[in-house]
Formats: sequence, structure tokens, C-alpha cells
Amino acid sequence: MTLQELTMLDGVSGDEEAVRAAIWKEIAPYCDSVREDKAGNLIAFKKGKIPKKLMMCAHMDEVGFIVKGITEEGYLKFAAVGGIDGRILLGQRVRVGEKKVPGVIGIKAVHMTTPEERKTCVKIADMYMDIGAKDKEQAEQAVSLGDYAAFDSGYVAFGDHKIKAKALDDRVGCLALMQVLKEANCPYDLYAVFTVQEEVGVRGATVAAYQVQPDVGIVLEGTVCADTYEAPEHLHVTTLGKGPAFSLIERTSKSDKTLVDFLVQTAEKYNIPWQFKRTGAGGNEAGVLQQTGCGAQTAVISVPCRYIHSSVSVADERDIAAATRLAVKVAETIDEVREA
Amino acid sequence: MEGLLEKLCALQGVSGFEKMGSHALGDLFRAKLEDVWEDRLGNVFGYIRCGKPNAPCILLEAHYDMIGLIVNQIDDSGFVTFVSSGGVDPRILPGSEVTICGREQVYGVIGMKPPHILSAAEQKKAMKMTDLAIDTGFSREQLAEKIQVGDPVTLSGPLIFMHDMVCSRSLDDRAGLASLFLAAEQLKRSRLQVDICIQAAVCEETGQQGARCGAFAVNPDLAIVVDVTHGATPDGKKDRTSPVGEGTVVCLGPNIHRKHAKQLLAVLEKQHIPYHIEVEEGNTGTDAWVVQVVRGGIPCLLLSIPLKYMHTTIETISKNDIQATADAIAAYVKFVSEQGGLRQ
Repeated sequence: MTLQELTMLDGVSGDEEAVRAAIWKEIAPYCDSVREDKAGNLIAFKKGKIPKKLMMCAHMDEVGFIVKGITEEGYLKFAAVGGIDGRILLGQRVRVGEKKVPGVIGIKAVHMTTPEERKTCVKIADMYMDIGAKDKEQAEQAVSLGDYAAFDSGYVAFGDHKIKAKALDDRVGCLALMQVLKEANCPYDLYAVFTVQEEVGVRGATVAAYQVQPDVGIVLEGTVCADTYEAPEHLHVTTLGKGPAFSLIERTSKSDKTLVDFLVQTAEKYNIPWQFKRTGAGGNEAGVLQQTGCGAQTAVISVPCRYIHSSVSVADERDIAAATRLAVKVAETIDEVREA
Repeated sequence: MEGLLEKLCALQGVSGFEKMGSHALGDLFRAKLEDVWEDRLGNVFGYIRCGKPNAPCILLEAHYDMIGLIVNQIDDSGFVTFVSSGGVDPRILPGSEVTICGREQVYGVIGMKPPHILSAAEQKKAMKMTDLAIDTGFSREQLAEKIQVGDPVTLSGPLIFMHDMVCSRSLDDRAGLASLFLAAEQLKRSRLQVDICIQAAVCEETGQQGARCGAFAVNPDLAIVVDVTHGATPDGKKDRTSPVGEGTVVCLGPNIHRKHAKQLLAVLEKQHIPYHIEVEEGNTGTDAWVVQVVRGGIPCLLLSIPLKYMHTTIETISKNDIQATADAIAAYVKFVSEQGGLRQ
């Protein structure tokens, strides 16, 4: 399965079925067992020779929308599922519900705005989706309350080895984790977990970590890359094209020093470019992995993504390939990590 | 109609750079009309001749330029900044996809700084055009041989259908042009006493230069201009918009020839063609405003199609309204043709 196929699947938090089914089908031949837990996480298991547990996880869900109301005029009121900056929503195209009804996020013409309105950011609560319905009745035939909606955005290879798609966060991690299952002979018992509901508060990883009780936890992520137009260098967080990024400390977790050293050594050993994630903000599933049960050693391998959580996320193909290769090598040699 | 709209909306032609699309547009004209020609501004003309010498002429006009961007700088990291050609709404630019039309066609996206590196005050502000840049995924050095300052940039916005609505970039005013083609189909089947000239005009969004010179060249006895007008949206004021899906919109006011307007409304009533009235007390902001004062004066009618989200990549319009506009044009041209009296 290609990254293009993975990103074209819609899996807004709470509605990950399409992603889960596709990944399940792809990984089944390479695992000793695969199961879906009560939360919807996909837990794949490969038996190792050493009785210790490595849990690697990547989340299947993406940011998107949920329909909260249908107006008399046939427009949809919606909320963001996960963190979305309202400024990247106006004029966006979406597909709504299981029927994938096409819609757009409209805005009254700029000609009719006041200077004050032009300066302020429209609140998501004040936005609406237009599916072309002439009234409420016609809209209700196409869409129901609680329907999820995803960005309608294609996969484009462009520039110097760059790709643009929606949901790069975290289908890049899913891609790497699938490759780990296919390629790596992990000396520990390997639990590869494709999680649900990361974007609404790491819900899936919380219950998956409880079930697995890992000794070592490694999160495969897509992360912020702010090396964008006129952004000062000290705020870049990561740099596109400079390889996978390793977290040191984040809002919800502190990476294990020996595990991070091991990531660096492994990357150097195999000539894989790498960088540190240069911020203390942001959180991911490492927070719950680290604090489950008696605790685990954790680290994060992230692919830098510009314009993350938008319909036009951008990543460098070389970073994705490097992160994938590193994840495989790390899984294969995880028994070389020195205990703290 | 669907196929026609798809062809028209896919045409190049950012205001001021219409020649990138005029050749393809000329081919569409030649497939349907006679005596097709293009002037030096890029206006494209085609005729339906009645065969009578010195017959009166009715000009049917819609503009084919579309809003877009123009490259104004390439920074050291390769980010491409731009200015607007025509009034692009900057609020829809973050998250959009574009193509820079340079020596090569270069794809790019317009992103923005992530919220976590903005101050709380900055996070509440809308993005200005000068805060934004195109990310092509190339370095400045790589871009040097592909694009340069001054290249036009088209906004991506493929055409989709939503119930009876169409959504695309550039429906302002390719939808108007579509209504002219649909009217022409009807008129070609009629025995007319007048010549019909259809003009696709350039530069409406940037000063209406195309309309002025085109009307001078054609020198018609009546001009019917078709443009879009603001369609009703939930966040728009009802008194400043027209209902969508309820027919064409007839403009009244000093820009519009009073006798023709009265006759037009009578024809629409008689033939049950759905319409609403829009009143403009002065400049209509359309090509009709300049056409009216070309040469010794040209009587003008303005028909508009209600369009939601004007000057965005998701301009949305009703197919019924395009059809009603075409029907109104054809009905009125036939009426005038039969009645005569275009020339005093």
C-alpha cells in the first residue's frame, strides 16, 4: 500500500474504519496475530526471542469535521475534530458522510465585508458547509447529524522530492509501522499498534498501552515543521528534508535519554539523516506510553510536516523513507539499548 | 451545459494574461460561431449572421478573464510572494493550491505559519496577502530556471457538481460566457433579422479595457452584458444579495437602457422565464458601465447570474440560473429581431 492510497482514505477521529480495514488487510500475512480492540485500535503482534515487549505505535486518525446541525436553508453547521486553525478552512472542499457528498466551506464575498471583518479570523462556529442543497429537506437526504467530513484534497508529488496531501499526520507513521511489520525481525515481542483518536486526546493509545504494558515504547509520528515563509529559525521546530526528528522533551512526555542516544547511534550507523525536534511544546502518544503501569522507556521518531493539520500538508519523500528505514533498524536491534 | 462549463472553467486567463487562454477559447468559438477573430487585447469575437446586408447588430458580452496572482518576489528560501490580479479574497488563500505559469508550470501550495509560533493576538487576525507565500518545494536556485517575477499564478479549483449547483474557480464570469453559448444555440435555430456578435472580453477585473475596445470595434445597436452578482449566503445580508436557483437577475438603473429594460421584463413575464430585479443606482461594476459610453453611446442591458463566494476558488452557481439567463437573452433577442426598430 502506498502513501497515496493511505492518505486518500478518510479516517477522522472516531471514524477510522476505512483506514483500519486497509491496514489490516495489508499487514495480516506478516503477523502472528492481529486484532481490533474495544476502542478500535488495531493491535498486531509478532513473537520475539527475548521476553520483553516493544510497542511501536502510529495513529490512524486525522483531523477533520463533524456535522452538528443542518440549517433551514440547507447548509451544514460543523465543528472541527482535532486541532484545526480556522484560517485554513475558508474556501476548502470537503466530503461529507459515508456517501462522500461533496461540499465547500463558504464565506460571503469579500466585496460585502467591512474592513473590521476582513481583519479578523472567522470563528469555526460561524462557518458553514454548502453541499448545494436547496433546503433542509434536500440536505437531510444526503447528510445526517453526526456525519464526519474530511478534507477533499489529492496527493501531489511536486517540487524537489516533496509531496502534498491531507492526513500526512499520521499516515506517514502508519506507512513506517507497516514496513516494520513486513521487514523487521524484532528480538523482543513486537506490538505494532495502529491507534484511534490521537487527535482528540490520545484516547486510543491510552487503552492500547494498558493492554500491552510495554517495556519500550516508540511513537512514529508526523510533526510540526515551521521552516516556513518568514518564520524565524529558532521557531522552526524541525526542518524539511533533514531527516526524521527525535523528541527530547514535550508537553506530555520526556524521552528516555538512553533510547534517544540509541536512535542517534542507529541513524549514524546506517547513514540515515536525523535531527532533534526543537521545542518543548506539543504532545503525542509517548505521554501515555511512558506512564502506563510501572512506566516504559519511550522515544518519538517524527516526519517533519509543513502546514500540518491542513488539506495541504507537505512532507519530503526522503524524510519519510529515512524515518521508515530507521524504524525498521531500531526494531531489529532494540535489544542493544542499554538499560538506564 | 456541464461539459461546456468544464471546458470554460479549465481555460487559462488570469486578468492581464488572457492570451494564455485565448487560443483555446477561439477553438470553442469556431466550433459554434462564424467570423471568429481575436483582437490585439485578447478579446475573442464570433458572429451569428442573419445574411442581410447592413443588418442591426446585438452584442452579447461576458468577460473571460479570471482572478489570480502575480509573482512579485522569490525569497532566499525559495518562497514565492505575490500580488493579486483582480480582487482575490486573501482569506481563502491559506490552504489553497496554485500553479505558477512561468517557463514551466510549477505547482505550489499556500501555507501559513503554524499557530504555535504566533502570538495570541496574531492568532485572532485574518491573514493578509503580504503574510502569505507559495511553497513550491523548490529552492531559490532550482526556481531560477523555471519561473520569474511577473509570472501569473492560477488558483486551483476544479469543477464539481453539488445537487443542481456547480462549484469551480472562475465561474465569474465563465458562467456568463456559458449562458451566451447556450443562448447562441437557441438563436442559431431562429430566423433572425439582426446580426449577433458574441464577445468574450478581457480585463474586466482590472479595468474593463476589453469591453471598451471590443464594443468600439463591434459598434452594436444594443449590448447585452452578462456577469455574475452576489448570491445569497447565510452570512450575507439579504438586501445586498440575490436568491440562488430562482432565475436570472435583471439590473435596473442609470447604466441600463430604460426602454429596453421595460421590454425585457415584459418578455420575461410573458414567457414565464424566472427572474429577480437588482437595482444599481450608478456604476454597476460590470462591463456594461463602460460599454454604455462607447462611441456615441450604446444602449445596454445587464443580466446577472447569482454567484456564491465570489472571487474564491469555490465560486458556486445554479445551473438553473445559467439556463434562465440564456433563455432570457434568446427570448429578448428574438423579440427585438421581430419587432425591429433597433436603429432610430
